[in-house]
Amino acid sequence: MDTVTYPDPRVAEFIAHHFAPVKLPVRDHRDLVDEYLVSWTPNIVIADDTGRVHYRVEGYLPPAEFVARLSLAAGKWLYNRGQYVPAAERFEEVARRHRGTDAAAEALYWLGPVGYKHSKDPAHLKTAWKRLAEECPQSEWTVRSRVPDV
Amino acid sequence: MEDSMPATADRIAWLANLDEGLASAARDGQPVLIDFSAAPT
Repeated sequence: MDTVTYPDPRVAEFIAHHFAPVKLPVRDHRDLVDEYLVSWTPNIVIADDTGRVHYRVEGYLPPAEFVARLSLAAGKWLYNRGQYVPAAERFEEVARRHRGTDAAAEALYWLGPVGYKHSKDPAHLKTAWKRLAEECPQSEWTVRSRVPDV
Repeated sequence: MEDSMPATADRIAWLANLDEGLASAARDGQPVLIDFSAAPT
């Protein structure tokens, strides 16, 4: 990550605009390694200002894929805070800008729940998950969206 | 010392401890990105 992904200007710029970045060498922070269940590195945790975990990236990702995951993580953080409109905008951007990636499939999945939570209209689930099936038919997120009676 | 240098277009301004990150997140209304790295930088 330090050799290729973090030095990439796209990654550095995205992190600078969206996160408070903290680097913790695991051998110097055994208590936090245990608290955050870090069993392997790279291990990137997205948390709120109380330390609660909202998203996690495990394993190496190259710059483009990592930015997609960070953008998705920012969306999940907004979603978990009940900020549904900006969360939906973030998920839509991931789905559009990173089409064809795993992150885009996950973003398309979450467009359903965020639309439903905002409007209380289950039609948002059908619309988003139909799009997910069309754009990412092989994704596990498409499988997850196939809930009976939805 | 390098870790506390300001961010440039191609450099991340890493904070050195979680308390700083949590305080920054609370102040700026942002999430914290915690990178658990294998080796000190």
